[in-house]
Amino acid sequence: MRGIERLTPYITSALALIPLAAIIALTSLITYHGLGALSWRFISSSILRGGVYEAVVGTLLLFSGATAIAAPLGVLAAVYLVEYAPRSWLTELVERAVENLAGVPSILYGLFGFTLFSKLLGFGISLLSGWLTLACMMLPIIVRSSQEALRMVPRSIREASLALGASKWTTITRCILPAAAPGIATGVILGVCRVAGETAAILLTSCFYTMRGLPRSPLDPVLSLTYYLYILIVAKAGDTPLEVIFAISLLLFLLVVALNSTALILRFRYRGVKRW
Amino acid sequence: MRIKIQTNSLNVWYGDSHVLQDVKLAIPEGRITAIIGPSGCGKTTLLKSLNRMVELIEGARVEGRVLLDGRDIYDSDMDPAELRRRVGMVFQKPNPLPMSIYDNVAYGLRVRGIDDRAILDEAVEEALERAGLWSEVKERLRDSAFNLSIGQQQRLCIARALAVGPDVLLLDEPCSSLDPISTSRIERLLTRLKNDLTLVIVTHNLQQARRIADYTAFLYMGRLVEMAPTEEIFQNPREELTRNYIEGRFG
Amino acid sequence: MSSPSFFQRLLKMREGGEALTLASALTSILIFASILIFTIHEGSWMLLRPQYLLGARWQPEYNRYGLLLLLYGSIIVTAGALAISTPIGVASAIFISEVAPRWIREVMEAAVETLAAIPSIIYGFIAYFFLAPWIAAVFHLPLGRTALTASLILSIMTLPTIISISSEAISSVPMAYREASLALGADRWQTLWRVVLPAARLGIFASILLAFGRAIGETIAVLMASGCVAAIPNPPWNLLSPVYPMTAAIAIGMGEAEFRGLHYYALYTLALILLCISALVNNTARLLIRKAPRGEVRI
Repeated sequence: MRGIERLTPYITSALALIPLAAIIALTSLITYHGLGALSWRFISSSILRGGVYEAVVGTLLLFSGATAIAAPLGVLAAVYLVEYAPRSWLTELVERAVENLAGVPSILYGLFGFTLFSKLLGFGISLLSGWLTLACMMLPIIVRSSQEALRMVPRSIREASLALGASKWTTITRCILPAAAPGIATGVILGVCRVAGETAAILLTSCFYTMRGLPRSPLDPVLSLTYYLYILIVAKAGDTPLEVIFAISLLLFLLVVALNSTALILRFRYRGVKRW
Repeated sequence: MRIKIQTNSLNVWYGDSHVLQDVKLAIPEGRITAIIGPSGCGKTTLLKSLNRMVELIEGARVEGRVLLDGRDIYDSDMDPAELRRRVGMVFQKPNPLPMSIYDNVAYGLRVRGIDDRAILDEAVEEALERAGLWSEVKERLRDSAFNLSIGQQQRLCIARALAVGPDVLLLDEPCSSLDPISTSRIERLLTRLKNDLTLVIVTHNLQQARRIADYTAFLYMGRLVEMAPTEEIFQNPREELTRNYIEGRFG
Repeated sequence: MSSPSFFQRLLKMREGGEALTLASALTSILIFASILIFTIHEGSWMLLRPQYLLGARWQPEYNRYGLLLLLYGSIIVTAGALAISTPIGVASAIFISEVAPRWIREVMEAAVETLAAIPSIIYGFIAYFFLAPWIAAVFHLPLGRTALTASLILSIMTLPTIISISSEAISSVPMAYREASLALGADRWQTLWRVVLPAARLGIFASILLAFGRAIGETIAVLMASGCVAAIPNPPWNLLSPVYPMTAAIAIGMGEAEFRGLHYYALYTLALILLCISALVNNTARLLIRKAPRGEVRI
């Protein structure tokens, strides 16, 4: 094997070009073909007039509601794990559950949501079912990153606060959570990023292919960018001009990249812990 | 008496920090030279400059010349890997490779392309003998190196370095992680080795230097203050600074 | 001052805080347990009536639910994806952690993170509109949506997993091992192949397992790329035939299946299989990552 080892830098550099080329090709392709049709008019006009307004609003509604449910739950759960929990079987169990939840394929979340929320609880194919399903998906991501962020808060802050006579809860709400806020925010944004691009889970729980308008209540079905893209391609290929499909992809892509970059910047600037 | 290694105006920077300043040191062949000095004075850096391991540190810059048998080791046509086969190193914390005892000792040879089982077997046995470890491990050469006690691990690291057949062995505080019994075993080992090798040992233990070193060099804040035969340095140091250090006025 | 009444004690923020956060933590267990219970409960219905599940055809209209056919579809597509992404991914990981200078490393890491964040519908779209026609043209097929197409798009999707976890594993190999090897006269690449990579092998293998889990659980992209034809290719290893992965079957089927009808239960059985595979793969991977060497020498 003697001489061959020396080829390592050449071979690995060559192969490493592939993922780089993939992302460049993908980005260029989508941008080049989609930029033309993408405009403010496109985003703000209704689907019935060739725009994507309802899909955009739908996506925003979906992930906002899911975040509103998952963020407090997730952060508080992380607070328990880091600040209160003794090293017991219960804590182990919670961590195991969170880890396993993170690995469940999204279609299974969709199925679960369909059976429990849509059918058994009677919410039907609706925004509400979508919120609950997506919240379940976001939860493990938020719990994990919040845990990390909380762990990075230096012990000295806790000790100082407690030594001044503050209760544990006050210490958490006034000192620790604010200090960990950037890291927690990063986690929430990453969670949003995950569900904003999700299709399989909402396919079964919130979207209906004849739906075209805005939901009038949480019990109405909703349209999302991802789902709209899906039905345009699979159900109506040939009908819709390719530029429109590209434009929607570009919009979705930009959304996800914006979210991801925000998370990255947050993480970089504060390295998880806010310092005054 | 020949000089094995000679440094001329050796300067080392870590980024902006000038860690070694104008060090001019002569290491005699076939003897044990100790490098002493307070923590952080550059002893390890000096040692690592002698086998170009200092280049692995991010931001490190080396200027000056280090002559091994008259050839500058920092010359552009000197292969660092080749150099390190001639100048071996043993580290402060024993660092066995995650392999069996046998594979650890054979590693340096295999890396040079020597694969013949018979040759390796012989070399491994010889190296372990020289390091005084053979009788303790000959029945379990296939065991993981991590199963050895820490004193045995350090002797394994010495055996491993010896197997490569170096002229010089650099030791960076080899006994600081060890108990007194292991320490004295290794000290006796090093004294035996100097017949075939030149040894350079960094130590913060002045008694150790007195016990085993033929020559001692005192380094302070990156400068070589004084170097002389050990007894001379300890009985009659020329510099005030040296005297203060030896008498324990600072550490 | 009189001692606080019972209600005042109950409302004391400190107790409240602990109870509140504990309740939140328990919801995670609740959710996971629910998913488990539902999937097992609904999924085992048809396992108890296996006459529907056997057989080589998946034809819901004739109440034939040959599971193995779909399992085969998932496996062949996943295996194909990993065959491509493993060498490329591990090589890229080596490049990032051992070869590349700092600035290139950061560019690569950003590229990989972006690849990971792209929604699967976009990958599906690319497969449908670009990859499939290209494959059709190159191999002279009527339609390009085949197992190969799905494997190709999945390989891009699994690259980030392999790259990021493998490069983490490689970087975690203790500096002491590298120093020892270099001091003995080995060069960088000999050190990489003889010491670093063997030491990192558990982490690298874990990354492949996790990529497997990701690939086999992927729905939208394979739905649009694999052709969704429920038949075993002829010959079986022919990647240029369409296949029907389990996840696609679930997504498509659930839309039409009657709640708690035969088709529904068959799909849930698929879900159960998927959940088992996914849980097995993910937990094994985490175990391996925990066992990897991390900078201490066992004494």
